[in-house]
Amino acid sequence: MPDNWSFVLAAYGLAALVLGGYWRRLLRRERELVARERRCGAARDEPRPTPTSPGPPIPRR
Amino acid sequence: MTSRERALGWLAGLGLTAGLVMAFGVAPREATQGNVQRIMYLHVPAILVAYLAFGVVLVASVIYLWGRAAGADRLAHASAEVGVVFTGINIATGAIWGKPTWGTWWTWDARLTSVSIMFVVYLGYLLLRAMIEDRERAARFAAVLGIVAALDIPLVHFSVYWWRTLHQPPTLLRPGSPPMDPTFVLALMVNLVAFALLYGYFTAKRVRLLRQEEEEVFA
Amino acid sequence: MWKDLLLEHRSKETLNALFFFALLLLFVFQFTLGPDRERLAGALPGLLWLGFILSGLLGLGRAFVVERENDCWEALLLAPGDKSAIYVGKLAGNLLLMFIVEAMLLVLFGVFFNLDLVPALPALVVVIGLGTVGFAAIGTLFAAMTTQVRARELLFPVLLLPVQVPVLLATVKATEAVLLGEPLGAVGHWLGLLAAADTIYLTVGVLTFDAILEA
Repeated sequence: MPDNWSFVLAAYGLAALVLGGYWRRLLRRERELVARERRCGAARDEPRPTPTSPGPPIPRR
Repeated sequence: MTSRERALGWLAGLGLTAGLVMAFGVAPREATQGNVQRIMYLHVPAILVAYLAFGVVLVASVIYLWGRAAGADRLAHASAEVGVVFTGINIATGAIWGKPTWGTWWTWDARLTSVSIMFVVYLGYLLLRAMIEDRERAARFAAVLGIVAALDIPLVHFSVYWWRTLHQPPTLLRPGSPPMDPTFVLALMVNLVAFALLYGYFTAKRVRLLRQEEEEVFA
Repeated sequence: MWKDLLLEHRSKETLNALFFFALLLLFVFQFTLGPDRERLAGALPGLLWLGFILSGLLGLGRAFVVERENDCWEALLLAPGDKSAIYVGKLAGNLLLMFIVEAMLLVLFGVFFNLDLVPALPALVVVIGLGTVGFAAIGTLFAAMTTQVRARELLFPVLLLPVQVPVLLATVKATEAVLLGEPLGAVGHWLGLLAAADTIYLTVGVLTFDAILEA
């Protein structure tokens, strides 16, 4: 039987694409989470302005 | 990224490299099929790791229903996701392997059929999780489905196998008949370990991402 | 449980609707496969079970609708005691409904396709009984789950059908053999599979139904 290297390449290529793609998706999610956490963390750590007028302080997000 | 996750990642990378070397450098050319047979080093480890993944889903689901530990639920979710990825790879590489050896991309033989059903069942699992907003309810329902699915897979296997083989002699030669040469087996084992490590890395990372996502909601 | 049986008994509307649905299916089968007598005969067991499954999907899909629409759902969730009893009750009700529909379909099939079902009847009853229990056991469980989810009409069959493949295969094969006049012993392995599946499904259903109905 002929060697059919093109099929071998196709199979390994597909596997590489799928696994690589899934890995990239995980990494991207990780980066997004870290970025969001940094933003929220920074907002929480900012000094709160003391309320000068009556009324509840505006909650920070 | 935890140090354990990092270690798993590096080990997986190492394993995959070793696996490629074994598959293409060390393993000999197969007598009847030629070099196309090398796809086996992708195809077989993929399904074995998928079985491992879904087994973990079963255990994690039972543990979750027992004690409602959130960690068990995250493990089940992550493992199911990675399991579906590997099952997909198994089906796709199987089709690519089948075309030159069988002459067809697809056939409703026992193994292909039952693996396809398994794929659809766990896709349904992920779909169910995606469609329930309440986290706790999603965890409960997914756990029940995870248990039903895992117990059902052997039944599917038997029923499909009997359907295709009883009173019906197998008409097609199946690629992947167990190779006798020990070098084949060694190469297979190396790739299996590599894939298992990759599963570990992916699942560990996914679990941690799930936990961080939950914490973020409550932050 | 008796409340459920009573409810089903009184909801003749569901039964009527399913009956007309079954009749419609029969017409569709006849039109799509009609003229070719050979092909029809071969496909009969499959068609019969297709009819059972489709009717079952509709019937089961609606299994918990009454509770939802009448705001009994909260009462169900908050009821004290073992929720597995609710599972068994619902299951019994669903089984009764399905058996009635199946009996009607069987009679219709016999009439329209000119089959002599009488000699095979006892064996048929066993096969249909085992198959329906397997279908309804998981069907009731999944129905309770998907009732509380959006896109439930889509999710229910999507989840149920792949899981039911062993039951589907076993019952169609066994029905095929029985209709050809073979004794039940010839399909012992299929019946064994059905019995195993039924046992597993019922056990899991009873054990996990609690978790589905938590408040």
